[in-house]
Amino acid sequence: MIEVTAAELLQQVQSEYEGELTGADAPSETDAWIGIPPSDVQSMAQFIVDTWQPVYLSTITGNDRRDPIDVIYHFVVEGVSLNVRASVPKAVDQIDSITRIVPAAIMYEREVAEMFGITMVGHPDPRRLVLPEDWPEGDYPLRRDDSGDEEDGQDNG
Amino acid sequence: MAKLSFPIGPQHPALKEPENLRFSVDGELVVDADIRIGYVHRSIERSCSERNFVQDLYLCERVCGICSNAHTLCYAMAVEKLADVEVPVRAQYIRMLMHEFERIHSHMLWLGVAGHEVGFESLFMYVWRDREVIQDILETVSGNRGHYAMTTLGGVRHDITPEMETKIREGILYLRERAEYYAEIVTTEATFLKRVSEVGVISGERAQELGAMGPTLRASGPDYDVRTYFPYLQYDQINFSVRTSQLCDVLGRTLVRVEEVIDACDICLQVLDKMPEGEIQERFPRKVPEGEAVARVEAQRGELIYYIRANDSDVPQRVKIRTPTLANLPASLEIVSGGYIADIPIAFASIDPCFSCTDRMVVLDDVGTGDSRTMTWPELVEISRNR
Repeated sequence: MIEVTAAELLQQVQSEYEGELTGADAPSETDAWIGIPPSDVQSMAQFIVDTWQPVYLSTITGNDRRDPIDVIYHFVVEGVSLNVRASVPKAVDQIDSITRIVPAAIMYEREVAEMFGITMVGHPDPRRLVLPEDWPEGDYPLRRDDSGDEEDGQDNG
Repeated sequence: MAKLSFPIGPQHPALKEPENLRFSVDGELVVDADIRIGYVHRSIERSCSERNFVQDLYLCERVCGICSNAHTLCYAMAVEKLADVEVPVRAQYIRMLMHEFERIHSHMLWLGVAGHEVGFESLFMYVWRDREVIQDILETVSGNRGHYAMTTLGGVRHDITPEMETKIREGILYLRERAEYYAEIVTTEATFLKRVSEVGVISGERAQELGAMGPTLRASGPDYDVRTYFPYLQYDQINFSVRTSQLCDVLGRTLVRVEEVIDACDICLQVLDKMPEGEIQERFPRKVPEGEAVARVEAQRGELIYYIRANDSDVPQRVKIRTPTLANLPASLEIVSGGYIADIPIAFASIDPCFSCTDRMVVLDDVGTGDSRTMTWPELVEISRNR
């Protein structure tokens, strides 16, 4: 089912996408990784939706690497797994919502927001997803600093 | 007329799992739906980064009782990618066999539930009786009827003996015949058709836009199936077609699933024919080098994806799990909207939802009294450590 290889897809991104790329890597035929500044996430989502059809958004992964917090968007386009990484510094702590461009992101963005305390700017439905309504404000289960549980997480990485 | 809003749940209208649905209705018509999940949040993702890679395998297996094999498979594939371990070919074939067995048992379970939801009890009883055949096969191969624990890092735990093979072939041929019979029933039986045809409609374009996966997506036209998009294990050696339907309704989803049972039987027979002799396990290192990996499998409910980041130790830094039901939720809300109140159970059940999967992560909710009590993270850690 390979329509294009990951390397070809990356070339297309590099030549057609006008914004800045902070990284581009194709570790296998079907895996492509690109990095973008967090402020460009909407323009990247728009670029992906405009360039390829259909676009599947598999999920959005949040990962607290002490600082920054990685927000990784796992797309499937043209038979390639396209992973877009935006690293959000804790001093910024917010990223634009892509739900209006990619409606599939709605639940995934709510999950990242409640687990890591990243504000999704412009999200149409910014409620919590799985945490209860009376969960304390400012307590983020997967965040590894004062607002999460420091002693319990691992310190490496 | 004023719109009325009413809640269903936290007990599911169809399956025995907790979530809370809120419907806005205008007379008999549902105009809007909202969902509240999290009743079975068990902090599995967090717990994964506190256990080593082998312990996580057993934890991930318990994300879901129905698709447990898909979870261990996907987890193992991601970790094997990170550790650069090649799984022996025979082990890959055995993994495929388990993967398809699980698809058969899960789709049959769903078909029975669907029959029950539309008041077609004899379908429910017939299907669940036949499902025992695949359950017996699973037990013969792995020793368990659920939580098979077949997958291990670097291979599988049990080999298929010639005696098992005979039993599997017999069972699969019987199931294939029965699945064909059910395919005929669900397309010709008027009592069934009247309840599922043109119920819970969603267009292919909309389903794809909302991120639906698996049979929910394919029943509306798009052909996204991880087994053909990203052939894992030995799926590129097997002849099978992706089942889609243009019906976009509950009948379409039923047909896709029944046809997938027939296909899964064929895949199992092909696997048994092609399975080479050889080792079933490869030695696996305790520590996994630094890196990150994404693995996808086509679980019975749709695409399952794992993201794992390792940091050169025996404990993963992050394990992220996205289960198919979460992907199907936005679409499911649209599926029930626009239909009748009486169709809510079957329309909602038609995505084959699984909330243990979806929540994964901890709340004590006393549903009986309506009190909810939240425990703080340190309190929970305290409890779990003092157990």
